[in-house]
Amino acid sequence: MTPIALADASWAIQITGNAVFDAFVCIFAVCFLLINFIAVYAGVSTYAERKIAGHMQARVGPYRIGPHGFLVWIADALKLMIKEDIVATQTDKLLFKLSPYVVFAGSFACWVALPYMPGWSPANFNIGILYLLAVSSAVVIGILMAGWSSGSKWALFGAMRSAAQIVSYEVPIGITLLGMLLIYGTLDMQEISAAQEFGLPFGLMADKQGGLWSWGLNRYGPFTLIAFLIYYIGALAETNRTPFDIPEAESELVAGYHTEYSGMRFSFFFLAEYANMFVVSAIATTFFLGGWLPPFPDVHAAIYALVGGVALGGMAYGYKKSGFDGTVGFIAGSGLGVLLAVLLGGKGEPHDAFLLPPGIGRAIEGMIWFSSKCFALIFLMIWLRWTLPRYRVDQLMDLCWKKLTPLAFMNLLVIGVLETRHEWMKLIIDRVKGGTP
Amino acid sequence: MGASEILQNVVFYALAIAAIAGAVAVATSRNIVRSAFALLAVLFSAAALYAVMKADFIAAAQVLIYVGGILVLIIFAVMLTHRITDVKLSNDSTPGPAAFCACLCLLFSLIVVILFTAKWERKPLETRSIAGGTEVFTSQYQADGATGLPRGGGAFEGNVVIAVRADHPTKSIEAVQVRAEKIVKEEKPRESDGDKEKVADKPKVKPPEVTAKAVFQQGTTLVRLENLEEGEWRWTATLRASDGDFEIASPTGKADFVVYRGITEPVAMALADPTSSPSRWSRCCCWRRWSARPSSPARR
Repeated sequence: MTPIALADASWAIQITGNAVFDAFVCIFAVCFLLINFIAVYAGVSTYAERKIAGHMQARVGPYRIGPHGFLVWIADALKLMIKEDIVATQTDKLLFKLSPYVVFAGSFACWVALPYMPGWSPANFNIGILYLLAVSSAVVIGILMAGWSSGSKWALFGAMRSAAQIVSYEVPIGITLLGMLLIYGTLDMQEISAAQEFGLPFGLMADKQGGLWSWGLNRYGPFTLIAFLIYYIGALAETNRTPFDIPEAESELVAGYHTEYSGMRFSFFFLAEYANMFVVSAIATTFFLGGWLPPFPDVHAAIYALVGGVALGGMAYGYKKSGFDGTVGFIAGSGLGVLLAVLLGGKGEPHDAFLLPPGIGRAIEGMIWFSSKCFALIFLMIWLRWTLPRYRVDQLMDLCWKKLTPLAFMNLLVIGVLETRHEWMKLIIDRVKGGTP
Repeated sequence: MGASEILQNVVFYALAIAAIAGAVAVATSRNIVRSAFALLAVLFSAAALYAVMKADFIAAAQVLIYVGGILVLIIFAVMLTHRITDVKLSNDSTPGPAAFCACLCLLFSLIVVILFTAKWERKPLETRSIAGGTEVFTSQYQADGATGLPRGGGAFEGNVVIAVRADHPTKSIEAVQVRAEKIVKEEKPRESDGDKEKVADKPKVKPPEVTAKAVFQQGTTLVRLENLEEGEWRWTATLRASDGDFEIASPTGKADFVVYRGITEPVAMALADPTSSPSRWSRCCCWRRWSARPSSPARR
C-alpha cells in the first residue's frame, strides 16, 4: 500500500536490494531529470519563440549573447534568479507566495504520465488521460490564487478571465477526447499510442501497418481531423496562448495574473506556461499523431536519422548570411544525423540496432519521434502567436460555447455511429430481412 | 514492520494531518477566500488518500470533479459575491459554541451510522475442512484495495496471508506449510497469422511456485506468501504433524487469488463457502475487478 507512482515503478533498477528504497531513489532521479528538462526546454523555447518572432517580423531577434544569440536564455534565467523579489504591501502574503508553486506543480504533475517511448512512462497509469485532465485543473486554482492575492485589479481581472477561459475550453476538449476514446477503448496513454500502429481510415485493412494513415488523425477521415482541430484550438486557449491570450493582454491588463510577480516567482509562472504547452502538445501527439510511432513504418530509422540530420545541418547552413559560420552548423547537424543513423542502424524490419541492446534502439527512436511531433506542434503555437491578432472576451466565449462545443458534440455522435457501424448494419439487415432483432 | 509498511504509515498520517489541518483552516479562517483556498488542501489530500489505497480512478475523479469543478465554482462564487471587497468579511458571525455543538451532533450521528451499518472489517470467510481427523479452518487475507488497510498480520503489496486455525487438534501439529502454484494458461494460436506456429511443439514451462512455512501456534497460525508474480494462483496447505502430513486442498480447484499490479484479490474463497452467495464478492470487488481485467488488445 504505497503511493500509486511507487507501485507502478516496476522499472526501478536494483540499487540496495530494498525494493521501496530503490523505487524511491529511481522516482526521485526521474523527477529530478524531468524538472531539469523542463527548465532547459522552457529556456530554449523562449529563445526559439523570440527568434521565430524576429524572423517572422523581418527582424533579427536576440543576437548578442552566444552564437546567434543562442545563450540568451541562460542570461535571462540568471537575471530572473538574482532579481529582487518584490512582495507588495496590499498582497495576501501566504497565498501570494504559494500560488507559483501550485501552478507549477499542476503542470509538472502532468509530465509523469506522458508516453515518452514505447512501453515506458514514469508513471504508467491505466487511467492516464483522466489523470492528466484532473491534475491540470490545479493550474486554474493557482492562477485564481495568484490573481486574488496580488491585491491588484489587473491581476484579479487577468485571473478571472484566465480561469473562465480554461474552464470553458475544457468542455470542447473533453468531448473531443471522449470521441477519440470511443475509438481506442482505453484510457492508458501507452495503449492509445500502440493502437495507432495498424489499420487504415474507416476500418479498412485492419491488419495493415499504415503508418501515417493509421494515426488517430486519419482514423475516420474528416471527423477525426475536426476533432484534432477542436482539440488544438482548445489547447491554445487552455495554455493562454495567442489568439486567446486575453488574460495576459498587455495592452489592456498589464500582464494579467502575474502582474505583481517578479524574479523567481515570476519565472515559475513562465516555466509552468511552457511546461503546459508541451503537455497539451504531447496529448495531441498521443491522441492524434500516433505518439511514438514513425510516419512511414517501412522506412528504416537510420534513413530518417540521416535525412533529419542533413536537413538540420542545411538549416544551420542557411544562417550563414547573418554572420554565423554556416559550415560548422552544417557539419554539426549532419554529424548528429550520422551518429544517430549508426546507432539506430540495424537489420531492417524489427528495427533491432547493431550497436545498442534490443529495446534501447526502439526506445530512442520512439522518444525522438514523440518529441519531434510535440515540438512541431509547439512551433505551430509560436507561429500562430505571431500571426493572429487577439480575440475579444465575448468573441472568445462565443467561439467556445456556440461553435466548438456543438461541433464537438456532433463530432462525438458521428464518431460513435461510425465506431458501432457493424452493429448498426446488423440491425438494418435484420430489419430488412423481416426478422425481429 | 518492513520498510514499505513504515512508509505507508508515514504517507497515510501525513496526508490525514494535511486533510484535517485544511478542514480546520476552512472552518476557522477569518477570511472567506482563504477558506475557499484551504479547501484545496482538503480535497487534494483526500484524493491522495484514495491513491494510497490504490483506488487511482477514484483519486483522479475526485481531483477532476472537486478541484477542477466544485472548488473553482466556489471560488468564483466567493469572488463574484457583492460586498466581498472587504477582506475581513468572514464566517465568524456564526455563534461558535452553537456551531461546535451542531458539528458534534453530526459527527456523533455519523459515527453511529458507521458503527451500526457499514461493514468495515471484511473478515475473509473461513473454510472448514477435515484433515487427519482434525477440524481445520483456513482463511485468506489480502490487501485487496477495498479497505486499503492490510489486515491479517500484514497482507501487503502482492502478499497473501493464509490463516490456519485448528482449535482442537487431535494430533500434535508442528508446522503449517503453504504451497502456492501459479496457473499458466495456454495461449491459443491466432488464426489470422500467416506463419502458424504449433503451440504443442513448445516445451512446457513449469509454473512458478511459492512455498512458505510457519510454526504451528494454538489459535491461528499465519503463513505469508511473498513476492507473488502477476497472475492467478492456487494454494494448498499442509499440516506437518509428528506422525505424518495432512494436506488441505482448495475445495474449488480453481484460482484462489489473483495478483494484478501489486493488488491481490480473492477468487474462490467465497465460492468455497456454501453459506454465502457467490454474488457477494463480485459486488464488493466490482470496481476492482473492472480495473483488473486484462488490457484490451490493440485493434488490428
